[in-house]
Amino acid sequence: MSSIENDNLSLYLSAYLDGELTPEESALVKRILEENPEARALLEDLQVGADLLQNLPRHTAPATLLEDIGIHLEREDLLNDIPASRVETRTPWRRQFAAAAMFVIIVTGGLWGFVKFGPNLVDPKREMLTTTGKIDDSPTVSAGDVSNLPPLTSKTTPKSSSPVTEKSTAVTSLAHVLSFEQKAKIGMSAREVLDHRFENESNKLMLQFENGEDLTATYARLLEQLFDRGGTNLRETPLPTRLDKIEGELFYTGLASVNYPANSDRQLLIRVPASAINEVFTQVKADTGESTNAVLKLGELRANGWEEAERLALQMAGDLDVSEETTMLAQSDPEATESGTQKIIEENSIASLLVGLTGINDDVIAPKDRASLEAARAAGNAKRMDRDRPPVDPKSPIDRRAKDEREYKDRTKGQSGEGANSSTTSGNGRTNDSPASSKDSKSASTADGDSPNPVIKAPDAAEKAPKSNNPSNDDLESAASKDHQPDSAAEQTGEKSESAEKENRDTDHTSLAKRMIAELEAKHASRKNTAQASVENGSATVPQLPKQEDPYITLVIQFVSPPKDEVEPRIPPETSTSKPKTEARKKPNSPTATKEHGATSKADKPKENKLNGELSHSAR
Amino acid sequence: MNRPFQAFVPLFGTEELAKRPKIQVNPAAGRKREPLSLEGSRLIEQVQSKDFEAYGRFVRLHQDRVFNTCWRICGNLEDARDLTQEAFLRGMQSLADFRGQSSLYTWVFRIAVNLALSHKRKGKTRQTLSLDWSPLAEGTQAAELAKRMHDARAETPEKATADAELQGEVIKALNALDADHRAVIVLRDIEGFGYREIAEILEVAPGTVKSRLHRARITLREAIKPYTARQ
Repeated sequence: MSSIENDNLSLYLSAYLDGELTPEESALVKRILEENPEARALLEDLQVGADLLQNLPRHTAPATLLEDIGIHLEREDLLNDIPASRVETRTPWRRQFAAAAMFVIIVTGGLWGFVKFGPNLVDPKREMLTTTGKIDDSPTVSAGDVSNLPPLTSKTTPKSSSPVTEKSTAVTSLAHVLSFEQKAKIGMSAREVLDHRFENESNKLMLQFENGEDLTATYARLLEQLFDRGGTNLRETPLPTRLDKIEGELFYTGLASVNYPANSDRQLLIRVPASAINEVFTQVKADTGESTNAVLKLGELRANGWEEAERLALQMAGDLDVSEETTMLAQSDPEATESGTQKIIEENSIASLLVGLTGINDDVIAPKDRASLEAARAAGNAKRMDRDRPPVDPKSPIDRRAKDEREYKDRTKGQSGEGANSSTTSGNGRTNDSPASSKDSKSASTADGDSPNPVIKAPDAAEKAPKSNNPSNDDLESAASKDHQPDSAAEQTGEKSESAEKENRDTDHTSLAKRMIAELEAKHASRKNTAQASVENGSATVPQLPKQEDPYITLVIQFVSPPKDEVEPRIPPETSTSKPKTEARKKPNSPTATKEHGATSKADKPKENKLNGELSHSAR
Repeated sequence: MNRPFQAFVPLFGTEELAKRPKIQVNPAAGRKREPLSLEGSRLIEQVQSKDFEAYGRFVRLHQDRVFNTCWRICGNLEDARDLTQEAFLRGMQSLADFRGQSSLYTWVFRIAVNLALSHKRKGKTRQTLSLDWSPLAEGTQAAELAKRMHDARAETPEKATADAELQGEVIKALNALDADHRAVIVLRDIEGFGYREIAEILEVAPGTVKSRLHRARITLREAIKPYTARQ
């Protein structure tokens, strides 16, 4: 074995395997390998072992790692620059020191108490007195002795705002900045976790199933669907009062078929490509049907049932007033409906919800659908501009929704003053008619009775207008733009031919859609420029991964059983508050449904809160 | 069944190994993973000037490797998550101490490995379920799900069981190594570091790395020999 000793052979082979030998040593080992079959076998074994190790499963780091680090740094600021490591739970020696200090204090206090009160307290007669509450006949005990006892009431120290209290307040305030996982991890209550608001979690969406029935099959199907569409990073956590005990973590990337019990005390977290969400939800919706109330939670928004979710999706995706839009589409432009515009919007609903609410990049939507979504958004923007509203920030859906609600409130006020069947005028003069009233509010353009595009006039002119059965979206828009014109101008407008109207309408929509697309392209171009700048800065090798561009979202799935004796808090879509929404979708021509539709979000609010409480209770 | 996740399915088991050409060692090339870029002085300057964004990019680039190393050393995913976070936090907080004698990446890795080793030595591993399906986790509900998933991916049930058993033994043997040896073999065979880098990370001599790695491999070989021989 030439210059290499037998004992060292494996050492050299190991280094040879790694290419860490000098050329001379390497040549020597090669020669030995040629001569010695045992050496070859040993090298082969080492290679097999190394390969097995190299092929062990690997995991990606938690998606929230960077965010968690940021939160830690933020927490440092909150806690007056105390290093995060000091308030971390991962400081055993500090804990031990604190425990030891506490022990010393207790022992010292106990000794002090014993020294001061000990002789009396250990007196058996005194014990008898204190335990029975009456003075014994024994001559050794007297009333005087009793009066000489030290006062039993402990000294109360005045409360002061200690640094500890201030710190605990600061820690409490952290509840607002902690992520969903962090809340669960540090053991916040189940209610805190269930009520978690997702508005700052741009990559999370919660799907909650409320059903007292066994949802094992649903659970299995849902998992299968998610995995089939690229779901990964599956984690399951229990939902007890404290969630710091992680029962199991499954980081598997594949699944054929599972039969996994769905329990009410578990939640599932899974990373799913956002583009697959819509498809999965559609399937699950079909599977669960009416028996299960699926709740989608995102930020302040809580959608009870699929229809509510779809409504929200439509509303947020294109800033559309869904009920109005649907009504107008059906009434005014049957072709648009038939061409599938509405259908496509509905198909996009859940994905739109994500896009609208979480700011997930539009790229996650298939190009075909994106075009229709852009068109829908353009339509929504057209309406918005007609209302003379100030431009809204599309990235702040919560604000946008609040604005919508305020506007709706204004409109409702106007409506209540004019009666049920009269035109409802918004604060900016926009008119929204029911079919009954629209028959009365005709534009001059329909005077010949042929035009299906009546212009809805201001209330004073509406009474004089001839009948029309087809108030359209564009009519409303044109009315909004012209409601300050004299009647003669409106009549002039009404004399336009139908084809010219349609052409104008198409042009409007097309230009709006083009503008939207141009804005999108500009946004992408600016991103590209930023990336280019980073290349020039020398940080080109670093991939830029803004949070919004992550094509994955984490889906939090919970199965929550409501308490058996309290059925009332559940708000299925069929109940009083949700019914109008259903009707509005089924009967787009119904003005009542249209009006009530927007009010549901407010009406639902108290019940939602109550529902949250009940759910939390049941989860515990 | 062609599934989108198949690209992530790890290859393990003797059958895959048997298909490979035997002993094709290229001593010059070694078994390195991807080159470690982004070690320029510019980034270090940015990070040292508390440029959170630059540090964020740095974290994103290296988090997976740090996470996997912590996981394999401490043996628990939850702990690995905490350790990774702690390592990057400490790296950020103590950047003033970084003198540039090693690369920033190696330096952060040293923090992570030291944390993981310290964690392992204190025996603070949480009582959680095994993450890879193996006979070790048998009998639990989650393990059952993992097993089903694993079986579904395998060509035959027998092969699935054999592969899983072998992998379970490898993990068991790895966990049985003492912390120092485990760190070396993880850094070399799982993460693909060179001896010099490992020496920097562990702050030991390259010769120590060589001998520890050798001992670890021999121990591992003895542990899995019955299974590799049987298959």
